[in-house]
Amino acid sequence: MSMENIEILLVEDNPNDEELTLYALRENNITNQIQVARDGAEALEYLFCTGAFAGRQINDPPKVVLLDLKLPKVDGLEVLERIKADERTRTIPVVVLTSSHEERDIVESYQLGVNSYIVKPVDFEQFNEAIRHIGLYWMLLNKTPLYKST
Amino acid sequence: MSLPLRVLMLEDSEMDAELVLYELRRAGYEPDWRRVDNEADYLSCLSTDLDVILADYSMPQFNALRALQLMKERGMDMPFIIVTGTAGEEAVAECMRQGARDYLLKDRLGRLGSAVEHALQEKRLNDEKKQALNALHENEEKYRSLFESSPEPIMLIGLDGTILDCNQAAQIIANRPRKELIGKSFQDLGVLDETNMPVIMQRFTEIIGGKLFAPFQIRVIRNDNKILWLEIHVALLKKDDAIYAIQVISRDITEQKQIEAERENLIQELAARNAELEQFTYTVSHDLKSPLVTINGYLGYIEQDAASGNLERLKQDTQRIQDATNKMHALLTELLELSRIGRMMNAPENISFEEIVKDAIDIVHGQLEKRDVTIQTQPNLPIVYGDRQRLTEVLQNLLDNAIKYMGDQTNPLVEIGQHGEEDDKPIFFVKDNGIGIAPEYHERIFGLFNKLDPNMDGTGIGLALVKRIIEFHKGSIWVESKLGEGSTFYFTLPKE
Repeated sequence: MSMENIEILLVEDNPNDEELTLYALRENNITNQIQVARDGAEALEYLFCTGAFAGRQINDPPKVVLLDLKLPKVDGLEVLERIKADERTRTIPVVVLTSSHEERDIVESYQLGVNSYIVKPVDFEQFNEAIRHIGLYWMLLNKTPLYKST
Repeated sequence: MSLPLRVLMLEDSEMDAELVLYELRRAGYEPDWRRVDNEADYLSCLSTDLDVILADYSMPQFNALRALQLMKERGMDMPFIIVTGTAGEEAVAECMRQGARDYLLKDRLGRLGSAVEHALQEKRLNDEKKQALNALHENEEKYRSLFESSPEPIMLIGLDGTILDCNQAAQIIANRPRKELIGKSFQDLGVLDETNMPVIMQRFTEIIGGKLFAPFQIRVIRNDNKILWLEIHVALLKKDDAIYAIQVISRDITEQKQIEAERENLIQELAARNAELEQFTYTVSHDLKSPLVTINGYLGYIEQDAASGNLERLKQDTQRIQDATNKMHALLTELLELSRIGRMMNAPENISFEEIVKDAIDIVHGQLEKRDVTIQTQPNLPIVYGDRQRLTEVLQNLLDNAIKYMGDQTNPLVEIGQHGEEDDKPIFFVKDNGIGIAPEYHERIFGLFNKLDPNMDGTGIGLALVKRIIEFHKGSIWVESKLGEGSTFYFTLPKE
């Protein structure tokens, strides 16, 4: 087991929103290791162990990716597509966490194979509740297959 | 049963007249008759109502030849039969030449009935023939007039492709007089687009073969290089069931085609606008909603902070709410600005491009000093035509970006100038030696709310605004850049 042992990859460009999500996770006692990527390109580098993350092992994926859709450089839908199109990363659960409730975003996300699509509620309590559920479900209850090297 | 017969007799002898009447009655006619023996009486009785004129060749005061001439002079053509006692052969022959139908000797009047009948029949046939000829002539006139005065260009083309006839409109559309058309092959006209020729030949083959009747459209290039669109209607002309020519009506539908093309363009433009608007609404709804989530989230935590007395975090959270409202304010302001492009513009004017540059530099003066940026502007830049205020915004935004993305460059330099022309419009550039932009993002940076660096302040509207202003001025904008090697923004603007 590597030292970092990242369990959640949070892809969010707005530092305040990132902090808000981290608050909510901590509030709900989800204190797993969290890596934050500020744009789509950084998220891909992290997941595919390239660029600044060339030293990482691809067979040590996060337990879940929390993905915003509107991102600088590479947008969320493309990140999702790349994760789900690659055999090495396909099994990583991806939860889209966005303020967009556009039907076309929802449809396209599911077509690309998103595991869950959550619209950030404007209401604080609801937001807190949503993050709690994400944490509980994806971190504690969900079981993913162990990574098999091909 | 007796047939009524209107008879005019030229006869000086009452007796001879009686004989004639007797013969006519015997042949089954009921004569309604008048007898005259001088020119004046003859003329007063001469009328087209008469069925037959029976004339003695010679009378003391009058003769048949003269009577015949008088009738002809009046444009009449009644059956005229010579009934004579003395058979001067020369005189009779002269009468026949002048149009007499027959001649009889008075001592052989037995043939009178059949001679009259014959003459009447001949007259009937002549009348019918004349009528038919008249009708034909009239039809020919009608066709000719229709053909010549038709606003649609009509040509008759022989099976070998020779132009047999053409009307006024055809001469106009072919831009050639009749003598340069008739007798020429339509292939040699030089009015047809050569790439179209095989298609046209194929069509004509199909028409002659009776396989094509529907009109078809062709594009032609006329001898004056004008491009025309023609809708060709064809009809086959037949003589004794054999096709001998093709009647070609070529309607000029160039204008209609242009309107269609314009409409098509408009529809496409409208669709593009619609898609743009949809994208705009989508982006706006997403990006305007984001700060609300942030604000509400932190408001919730502030409650907790207050309850737990965590003043340090309360301060932080308040700041975050402040940031989010500021962002929302900036977004709304710039969106309003963006929506004004094309709606609220100042009257276009001729402005020196150097003036625009100077105005923009004045606005970003503070930032330039802070980052110690050198600006080099080419001298003698052209004069452009546009909205001065908006064009200043373009330069201001481009300079703003250049400064923002200067990175750790120790000698920040921005160059502004002209680099040739495109479509008769000067190409201007704003070149920096900052961090540069990777090629895959060259398109994306002009999109609404598309920021490459989340840590940079700004709303992601700047370049979208710049693009809109340039496009409103019918110009275009693009970027050339490599990561780490600075960026050059090029854009075109209309000349004075």
